[in-house]
Amino acid sequence: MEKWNGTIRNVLEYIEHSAREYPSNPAFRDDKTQVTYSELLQQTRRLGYQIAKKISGMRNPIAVFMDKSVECLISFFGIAASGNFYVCMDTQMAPERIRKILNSLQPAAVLGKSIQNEKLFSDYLILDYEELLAAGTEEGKQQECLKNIRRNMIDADPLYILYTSGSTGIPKGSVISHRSVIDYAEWVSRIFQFDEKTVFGSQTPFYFSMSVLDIFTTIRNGAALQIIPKKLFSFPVKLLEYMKETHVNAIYWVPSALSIVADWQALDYVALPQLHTVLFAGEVMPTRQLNVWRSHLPEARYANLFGPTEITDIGLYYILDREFSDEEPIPIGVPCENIDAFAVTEEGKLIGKGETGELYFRGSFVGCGYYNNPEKTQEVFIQNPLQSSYPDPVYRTGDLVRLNERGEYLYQGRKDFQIKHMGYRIELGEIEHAAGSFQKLERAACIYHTGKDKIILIYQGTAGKEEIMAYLKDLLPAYMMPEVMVQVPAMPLNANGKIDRKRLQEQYGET
Amino acid sequence: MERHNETMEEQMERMDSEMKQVQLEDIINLFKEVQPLGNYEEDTLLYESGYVDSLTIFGRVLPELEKRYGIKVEPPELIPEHFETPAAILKYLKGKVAQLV
Repeated sequence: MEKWNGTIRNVLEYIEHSAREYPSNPAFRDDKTQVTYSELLQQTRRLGYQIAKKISGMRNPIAVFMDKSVECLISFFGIAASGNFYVCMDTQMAPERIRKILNSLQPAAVLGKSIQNEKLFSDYLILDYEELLAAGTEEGKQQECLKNIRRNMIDADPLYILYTSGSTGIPKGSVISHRSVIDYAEWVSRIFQFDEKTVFGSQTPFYFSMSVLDIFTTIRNGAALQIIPKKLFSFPVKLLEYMKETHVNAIYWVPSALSIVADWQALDYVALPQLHTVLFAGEVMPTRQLNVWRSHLPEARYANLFGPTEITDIGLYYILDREFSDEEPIPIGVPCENIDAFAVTEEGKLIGKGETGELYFRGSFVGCGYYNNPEKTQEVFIQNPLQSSYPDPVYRTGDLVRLNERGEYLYQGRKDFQIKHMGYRIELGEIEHAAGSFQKLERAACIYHTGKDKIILIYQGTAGKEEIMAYLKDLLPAYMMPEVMVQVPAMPLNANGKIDRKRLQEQYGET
Repeated sequence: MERHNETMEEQMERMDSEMKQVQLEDIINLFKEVQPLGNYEEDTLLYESGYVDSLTIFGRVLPELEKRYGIKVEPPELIPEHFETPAAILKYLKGKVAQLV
């Protein structure tokens, strides 16, 4: 495992290493294509050189507008090689949201396939993936240029930005450095003993932080990443057959994907003896469905991972080491190596066993903050509340956790109006903000029904349900669309004249 | 109006058999209901439309179809050939309903 001499400073060193050790092993595979490590290295360099020629300076954001594919991954590394950082965009995202992100990001370019005529990008330099790769080679110049770029990069330089929902209606972009990703990939590889025989079955989108584990653990170990077509998650038996055919032996999925397989007894129809690691994060894993997996694949290792996008991927983990009844929650566990996770009470005191407090993270997984957003950054990337003698940055999660008798953390919910829905972090405020901008709505409030996992929009106004949906679809991604609409003659207000959320929650949220 | 003389039992039976006549329109309307943003035709590739995903299918469409037609979708039947387009669903459902009789 300890194959690195000295310190890794740039994730591209992973690809260079794997291309030397396992040149003909497949690195990334999807429905249409695959690349070996030597091809990946070659295309990364070619792309990096062509991008560097077109963009002046380094450390610029470059948006990637591509469907989840092998080519999308090669683009990420090409951008890294050019000395810039990538921002993966959801191609299904509502145009207005894309516009907002681009506005805040001001990318040096947008990289995609045949997007030259896309109006959304007309203000930006457009780079065509195929054109870049088809450009004539200039081996000598390319080598010189890329060497020069690398010499001017340090591990604190950003590798990517990932956007998450923001309460003011403007998504927040977490800036993550090479250092954070490297330390994370090292930890993941060590703790789960991934190696060149590992084949990840990738479920999560590349604009979602969980994909960071799949991508960087893969290149670190000379492993393979198999992109599973999204459609298969509607056909559980087919999904498992596909995993069997493609020799997937490790997965890191959102609990809803694991639950579909369990609920449809797909494991009764297809055995997956090769699957040795089942990891999950992104939302609470229902224990009943997990127990279905464990009874079918008792030899596999299961782990619950926990953390926000702002700290690369996760900072707490729990490897299942005992049985749980269907009603018992799975702990989120203990801090990763070299990560400090602690929780403090309202009074600012560290919690003890049996107590609940707000969770904080400290350590090298913690990201750099939000891009072009100092206000939001200062709210959550703050000085360690436990000491003031020297600068000691921590990330405040807004998550409430409890410490059990075994010293494991248990997730208790959010402090604010943020929710987790289908694995996505959503600020209810962003949905309200979007609905509130519709002229035919006088007031709108959004609540979340935890038990039914549904987003409910309560509104006062003349608009009909379909009209509101049609309006919102231009503003919000599909996973943020309200699933239940309730029209009320008058919105309940509290003493301060604000919408009485507590009452709405009681009335519509917990039935 | 001429149904006035129907007994409750007859009425139930009639409604039952009417329900079980699977119509393409009903399937398209069901998709419109659960995901009003999409446009659905007989041959619309539902999963490529961008509006239908596993949550729509498992959370809304399948439970409704099972309830409406009194069928049980078995895991091995859950394949693209049966659920890729409204027309495919129609064909599959007709087969299932015929088995019930």
